Amino acid sequence: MALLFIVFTPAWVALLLLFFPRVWLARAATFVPALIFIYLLTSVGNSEILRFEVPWVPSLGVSLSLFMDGLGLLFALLISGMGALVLLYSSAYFEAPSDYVRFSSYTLLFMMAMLGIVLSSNLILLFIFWEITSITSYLLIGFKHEKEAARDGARRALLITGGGGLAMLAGFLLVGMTAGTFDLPELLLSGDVLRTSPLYVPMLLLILAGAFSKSAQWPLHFWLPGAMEAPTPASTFLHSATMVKAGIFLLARLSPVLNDTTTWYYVVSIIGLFTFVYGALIALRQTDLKAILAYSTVSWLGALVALQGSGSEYGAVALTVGVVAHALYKGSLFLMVGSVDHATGTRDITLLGQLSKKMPWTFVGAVLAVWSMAGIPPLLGFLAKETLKAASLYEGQPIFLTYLFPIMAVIGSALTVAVALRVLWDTFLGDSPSDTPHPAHEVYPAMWIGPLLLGGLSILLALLIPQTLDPLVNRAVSAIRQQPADIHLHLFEGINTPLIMSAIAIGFGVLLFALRKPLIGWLQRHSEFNPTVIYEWLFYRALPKSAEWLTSRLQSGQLRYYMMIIISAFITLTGFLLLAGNLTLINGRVLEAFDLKIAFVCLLLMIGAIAGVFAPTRLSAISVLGIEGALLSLLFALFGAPDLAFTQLMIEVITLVLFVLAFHFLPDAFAAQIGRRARLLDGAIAAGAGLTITLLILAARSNRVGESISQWFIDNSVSIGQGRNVVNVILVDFRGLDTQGEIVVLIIAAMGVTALLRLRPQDQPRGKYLSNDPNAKPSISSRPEMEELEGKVEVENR
Amino acid sequence: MTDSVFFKFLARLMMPVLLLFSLVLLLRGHNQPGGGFVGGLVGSSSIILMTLAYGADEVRERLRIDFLRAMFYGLALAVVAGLLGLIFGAAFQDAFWWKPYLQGIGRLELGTPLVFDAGVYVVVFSVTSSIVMSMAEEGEREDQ
Repeated sequence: MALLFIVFTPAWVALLLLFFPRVWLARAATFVPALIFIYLLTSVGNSEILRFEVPWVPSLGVSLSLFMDGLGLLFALLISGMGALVLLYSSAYFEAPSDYVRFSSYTLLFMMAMLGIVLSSNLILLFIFWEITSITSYLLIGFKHEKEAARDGARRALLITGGGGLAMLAGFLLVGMTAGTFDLPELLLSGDVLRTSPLYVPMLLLILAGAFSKSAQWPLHFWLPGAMEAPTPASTFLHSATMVKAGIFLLARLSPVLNDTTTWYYVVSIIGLFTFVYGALIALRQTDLKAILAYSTVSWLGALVALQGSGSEYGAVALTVGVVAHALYKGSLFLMVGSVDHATGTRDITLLGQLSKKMPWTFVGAVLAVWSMAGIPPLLGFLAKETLKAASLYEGQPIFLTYLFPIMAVIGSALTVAVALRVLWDTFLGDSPSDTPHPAHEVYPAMWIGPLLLGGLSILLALLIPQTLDPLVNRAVSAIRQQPADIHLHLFEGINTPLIMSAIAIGFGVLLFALRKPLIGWLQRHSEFNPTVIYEWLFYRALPKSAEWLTSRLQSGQLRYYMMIIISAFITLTGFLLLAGNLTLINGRVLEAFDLKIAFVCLLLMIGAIAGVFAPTRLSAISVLGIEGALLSLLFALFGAPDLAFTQLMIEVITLVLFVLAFHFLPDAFAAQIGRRARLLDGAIAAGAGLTITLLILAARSNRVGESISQWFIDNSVSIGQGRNVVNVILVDFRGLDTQGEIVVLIIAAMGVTALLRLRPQDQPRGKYLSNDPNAKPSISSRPEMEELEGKVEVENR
Repeated sequence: MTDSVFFKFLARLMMPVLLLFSLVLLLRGHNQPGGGFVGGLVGSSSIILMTLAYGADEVRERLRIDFLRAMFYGLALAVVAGLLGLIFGAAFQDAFWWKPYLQGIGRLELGTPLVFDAGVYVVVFSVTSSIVMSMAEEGEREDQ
């Protein structure tokens, strides 16, 4: 029950804020994540796994079930803790109160979804929360929706992460089908079934696509820098501390059942390592502070992915420490950037400098964060880098990675050091004084408390490892690896290889920093291959172009073409199935049902149809259609269905009236418009449709597989339906739901007709919808209303 | 709209007959040919006849029925009939029958399917009338 409150309280408060947008309420809402955080802290010590479950769609194995093991707890702590600080920060960050309230509401909604992801105990539920994070992230990136770039970034993030999410759903379904359950704790026991399944590779790749798109791994990383259009508190929370780690979380969550295969090992390690180095390198090139941080986030996410390749205990430890350390220092740095932007009006690092005196508190927070980011002892970042290197030396890896992983780890770390120093130096120290839109000044306490607190925690956690970090890491690692762990971390374990590697990385990083001017210049001259090009080609050129092409081909605006397309498609598809099925068409049962009377009426109907196609004027065509309708009701009557016959006759009468009313809207040139060849084509299509239907009925009659349900209806009409008119009993009782759907469709049709007739632009001349030129190319702009009405009549008879 | 006095007279004569006939069709539908659907069509044919004779504007003015609204009442009636089954029975659209015996007349058969059918009647009646009247209105405006 506690879990239910943890996940859904933020959502309730968010909805409250949407309906009662008050600043005091938004301020009070800051306490929601804070209280959740405190509650979670108290439960670090007890190792009991909390559970909550309500069946939702039991027939599909979907339930609203939550559980909190060590991994979930770790992430839930990050989400609620960072959430509280971000909400506190945003109370001073936004200038307009309405913006603050709206932001708080979105952020709380996002928090609900994020807590849902990490505490879900059902894969489908996890997917739903996952998609909610994509949507709330879309709202937050597009927060300043009057800006084009914000809308663009939001759409890009939604398309990439949403697309990844769909791939992930497909992967989940494969997993669920193979393992026979969507329940996570149960699923975690069926690793062998999944690994030996022939569907293993597709399911793995689909799930990795979801995780990699969310966690911004190359080549799907490019949405994250675009997402920096979000207000800085949102970037801090979503695009650094929590949402982008959802992919990391998913890998960690599913690694017990999916890892330990070569596919997993190579794909995860190589993509991760490449992203690690690539991100840091590109980060160095940027001049926008936020872009620098975004790419360095991409980089560290790569490291966190690569760590999961081996599935070793070292990897899990490094992952846990890395997630915590990164959230602390990167969160602090993002908030710092927000403060600098707020105070000076720019984030361009070339314009900034020497802010340390003017913004002393912000500076102290930034120093602590950069210190941790660079991995210099004794801060938590050092421990993170140290464990990363220890994990890179894991002995069980394939030969290929034995060298690659440690080397890439050192290079990536060195680049990170250079990036960190550059952020600090060029913003707060540096030679040139800042040349900014506003004169710099210190920001409100609410805005520097957060970064300072996060920086302080980086020291505190590192110094008090046994009391703070150890219990958390042990619980998380045992949850990731699904086996008990007994880990005692130390900042210094004596002189060993990881320490030497760290020293090399720091030294190399300082060297890179010293040489940054030529290096950055070189990087800026050489642009890398950017996957954005593919994205833009796909969504801004290929998709609109093909849509336009298809629309102009299909949506001619002329009902005649629509009918031709629909009926030809029916003939082709059904006819193909009939031929492919190789069915017998005529057997004794069909022949014994032959009736001369009915055959005669059918013959008349066919003659009428031919006459309809070649009718010289519109009036004669309508008359023929009326006769056809009457013959059809005669046919119904002959089959002993007076209800149908009566209804058909009524429909014919009303349609005729409609036609008379619509008559003078229609263009005059009926005979001229449809030439002889067009009529032959119409006739051929009509004959084809009739032939297909005939074959279909013959095939259905001679290949009956089960008993017809008609007899059941007849037998039970009086006893169950309490009526002797079987047709009516079916309509209002046995198949009542169908009827209900049908009357809804009728209402929609009536509203459509009303809208088309009444809500027409006033200057649109009536009766001029159609071109009278028979050779006119069908165009989208010709108005289809009248033809639609004409079509109502023709539909039944073509 | 027509100028024929004979047609106008006939339309007025037929209107109550058709309406009554449509109600008969609705009520007897469960046991004999008829039902809400065809009943609604016959009922709306009375409106169509009046529209042809007197014009949509006049019919609208005299009748004071907003068919666009009425179709939703019909849908509501059908849904309520289904909900009765959900509330008092096992499932949505579960049927209930009440068959009191009336002295001298016979057995009256009332049930939720009849309520549902009445909803269908109202929807079909309103949809058909609304479409025809919109078309007729357009035509009249064209003539002016």
